[in-house]
Amino acid sequence: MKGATMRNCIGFRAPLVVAVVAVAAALLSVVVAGQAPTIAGQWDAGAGQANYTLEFGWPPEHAALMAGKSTQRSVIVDPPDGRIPFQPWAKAIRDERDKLHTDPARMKSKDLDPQAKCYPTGVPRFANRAGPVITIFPTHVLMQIEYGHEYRIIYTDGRPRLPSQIKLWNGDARGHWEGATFVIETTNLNGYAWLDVIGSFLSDQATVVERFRPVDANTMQWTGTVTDPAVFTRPWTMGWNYVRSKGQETQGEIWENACVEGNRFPEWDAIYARELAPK
Amino acid sequence: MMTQIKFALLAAVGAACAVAWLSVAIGAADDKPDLSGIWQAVNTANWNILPHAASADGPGGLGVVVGGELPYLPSALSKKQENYRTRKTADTDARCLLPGVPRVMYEPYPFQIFQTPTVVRMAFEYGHATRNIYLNAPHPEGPIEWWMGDSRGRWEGNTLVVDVIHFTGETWFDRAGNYHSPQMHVVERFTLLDPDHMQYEATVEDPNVFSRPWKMQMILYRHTEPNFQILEYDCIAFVDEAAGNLAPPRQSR
Repeated sequence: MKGATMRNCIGFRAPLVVAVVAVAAALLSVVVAGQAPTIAGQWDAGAGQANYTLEFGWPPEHAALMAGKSTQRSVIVDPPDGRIPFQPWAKAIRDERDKLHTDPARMKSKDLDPQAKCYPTGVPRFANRAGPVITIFPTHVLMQIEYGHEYRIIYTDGRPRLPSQIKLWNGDARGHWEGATFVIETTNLNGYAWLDVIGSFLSDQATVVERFRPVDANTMQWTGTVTDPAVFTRPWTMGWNYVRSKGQETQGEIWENACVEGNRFPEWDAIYARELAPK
Repeated sequence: MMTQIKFALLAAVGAACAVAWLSVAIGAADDKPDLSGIWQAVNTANWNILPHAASADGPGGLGVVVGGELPYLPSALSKKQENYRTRKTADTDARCLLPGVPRVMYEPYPFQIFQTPTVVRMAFEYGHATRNIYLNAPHPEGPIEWWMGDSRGRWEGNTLVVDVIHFTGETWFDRAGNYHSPQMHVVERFTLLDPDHMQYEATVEDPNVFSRPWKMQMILYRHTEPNFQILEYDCIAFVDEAAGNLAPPRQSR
């Protein structure tokens, strides 16, 4: 407690280590208060149409539905052809999901984007959603997005990883700083989450390395590299830039997104009733 | 010689303290108690906030309601009884929905507090629920129905006081069906007793359901295990998972 330190100061009983820590903290606070670009704060979605497909923006039907235009742009920067380097069997499964995803009558639960069920985004898809709000602490970093009130806690204190038996939607994240750039390595993913609406996926063997780099006061560059020999022929990397949020709609705050509680994809209720609900 | 070293040390400590005080003065740090860390209630209020013996529903407990009774309006009792009858399917825990406030504070899962001078954030293992408690901004204008309500905090001495309104009528206080209406007003008080224990109080006011305000009180305990961390309790996906719909596809051999 900072209060305790100061009470010690009054009595000049503070050990030297407290003094050194106090000086370091004061210097750090000056640096943090300065104008150096930082990833801390609230960011607007930078992924554009990547939540729908990483490889080619909105398909024509969806663009029509949204009364908008497809970017037809891949967010994949490596390999150079902008395509996910799926192994052939995995590409076949993804393409079959893509065909089914606009056909709810034929769709089974396993064919439906987990995000339409309000399940967690997983990593790296967490980065596709609006946000994040980033708060930096000495031993960890908190990232929050509005979608489904999701959060990630990324430890930077060098602690060991979780045991490999523990698989999580958003995995187990460990971070470190390279200057102002925050690097996260995520393992222990359960592989349940898809990478986009059309069904791109990774497995529970994947490792995801993300880099959050502050380019200037209002720009943050994000890249995510996926390595997963069970599904892909090689590691691949996607990326985009976020713009610092002006936060007009919610006065710069995070407001409740109660997805499970009622904002679900309506087709999911029908599929759930058909397949999973107790008869 | 020794005296000189002592003086030098004193001077160094004095300078450090001056800088520390200065950083407080410019707002780089603040002198509030630090509630940061991973906490958990260790009681059975999630099953029943009133005194109760163990049953098929769960473990027994002394209850957390001060005075041991809830001042239900006569007109509000039948809904409580109906909730009790349907608890196994109607309770938010049974449906994996957001549990509301104050219940999220005593769900039997850990949660983490992230404290800054302007906002206190809480991340809960249960259903990855969150609370963002803003300290320097008023409640947004209603009517708003949020499952977790809208939380606004302020420091009263060493106590974090949180005012919560804008609720739904969907959440209960416990699995026994004790409930409130969307008009509920909760005032919470978080007071650190020592580094690892925090007193939690919630005063509940709801003229649609109760004849007078009432209060619950409990201790929150810090997780002190080395490298303890929050995991995920995303029960909403358990049925789908058990049906085999979520596991990532594998190459058939």
